[in-house]
Amino acid sequence: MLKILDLHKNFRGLIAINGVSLEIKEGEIYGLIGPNGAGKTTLINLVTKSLEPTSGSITFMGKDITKEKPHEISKFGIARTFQNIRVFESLTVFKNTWLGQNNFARSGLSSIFGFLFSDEKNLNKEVMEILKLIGLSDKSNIIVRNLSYGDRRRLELARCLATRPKLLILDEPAAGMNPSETDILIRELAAIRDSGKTILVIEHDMKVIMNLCDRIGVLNFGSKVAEGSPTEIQSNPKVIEAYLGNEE
Amino acid sequence: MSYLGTIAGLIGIKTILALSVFLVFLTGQLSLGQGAFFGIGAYTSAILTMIYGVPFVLALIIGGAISLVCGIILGIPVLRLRGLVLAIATLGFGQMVNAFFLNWEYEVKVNNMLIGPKAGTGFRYIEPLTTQGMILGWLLFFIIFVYLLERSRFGYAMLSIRENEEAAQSIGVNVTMLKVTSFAISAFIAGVAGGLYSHFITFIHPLDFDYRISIIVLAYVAIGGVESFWGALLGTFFLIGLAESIRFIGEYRLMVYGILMVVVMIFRPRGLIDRELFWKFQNIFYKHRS
Repeated sequence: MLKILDLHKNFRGLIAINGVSLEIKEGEIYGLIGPNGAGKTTLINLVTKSLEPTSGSITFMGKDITKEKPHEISKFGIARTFQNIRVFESLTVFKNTWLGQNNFARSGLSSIFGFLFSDEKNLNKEVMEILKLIGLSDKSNIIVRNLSYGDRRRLELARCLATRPKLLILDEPAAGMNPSETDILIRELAAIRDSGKTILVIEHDMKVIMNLCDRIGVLNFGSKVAEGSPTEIQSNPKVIEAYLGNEE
Repeated sequence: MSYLGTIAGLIGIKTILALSVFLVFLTGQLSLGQGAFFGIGAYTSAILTMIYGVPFVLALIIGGAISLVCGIILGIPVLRLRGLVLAIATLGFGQMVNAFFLNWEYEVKVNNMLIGPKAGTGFRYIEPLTTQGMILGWLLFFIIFVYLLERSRFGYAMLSIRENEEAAQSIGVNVTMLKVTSFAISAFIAGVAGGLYSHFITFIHPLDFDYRISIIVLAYVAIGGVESFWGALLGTFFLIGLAESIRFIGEYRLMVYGILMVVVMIFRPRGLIDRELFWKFQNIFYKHRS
């Protein structure tokens, strides 16, 4: 589904991503792990075009998206969350999610006469269904700046789902969550996968990674050092080296 | 025209100008160049009516349109900047336009009288074509436009840029296009306000359109509240009303004015009207209706 081929990214001589190739298959949850500074977030910023790759190519569903503009990416069906939560603080939970429909709803200048058209009713219903799935439906009218941390993380996920994505890219969705919130998240993500979506997740919480992922890729110093199923990764000496250093 | 009539007209024109500032705010941009767009509209429409005999309404719209074009030309390179840097760039644009008006002479003989802008002496003898009713009409038109815009997906997409540019981009909002659009519409509105102004006051001078007017109108919006266009309306009414009602204390009124601005910013940093307040009112209204 998503194919990354020999991707490089240099920041003024600093090599952040050094020839990473990986492929994500439809319907799987792919975990991306690695020590801090390994280049995980840089890699997904390259995929979502927040950053320009130095060289290499990115293909999604058979289409080359390497040269696309950042705002075009979601039209292909790629939605993402951010490591440091990015929600629309002064808007309600409902409007935050509703904004996710920007790509397929009537959202040009003609939308100022939106009240004349009836398609909004179904879209509103879709928003409420997503909020119900994510467990935010009773908070739909709360302004986001009054929301708890865990709820904001969930809201970001709801906004992602509202874009009707094929691939969800989640940057540390469990960061800052307590164990019971993490359990709920694991169940929600599994449910999202089962509804036919593909997920690429960066996470430090091994409980999330080991319980959820079908395959795992390990990054270290901008290169992919290992890839495989959770059990393969757990016993891979290169992974242990990346996290703990080698014996010498 | 009576004193109150003039004040009422000026409040109307400045409210239109405040709406134009609010539109730039909608995408989270800060413009200190609104005075320039105001001036471009004022000069253009006055030249059109006085020298070329263009009907007033048409002259107003052309004035707005030329302002809009200038907005796009300025907006495309400048809107890549953010915050303070953008403010300074727009300030620079404002001063540039101002310097142009301060040097520009374009006088034409109409009915044996020299008419037109004459550099630092200004543009005199403009026909008083603007009536209070006309100002009210345009004001209502722009209010309805901004009201509808604020509720539309287009308006919310603009808002999402102010709230978080990266997040807006991630859901498919074309950030550059919307920023330039909001800037252009805002320039149009300021241009129309300028045309109304020049045919209301009948004499315009380059210094009417320098950074001071930009900053004053910005203060109206900041104090009224940037989260809803009601803030722009309230801020303008409140500050002009205040400035006029304490005229009896002479020039000390500017001090009172300044103190009040500081106090409002300390206690209501999002302005007098913010979204919470707005929602409270809206909920009361809906409850009564249903």
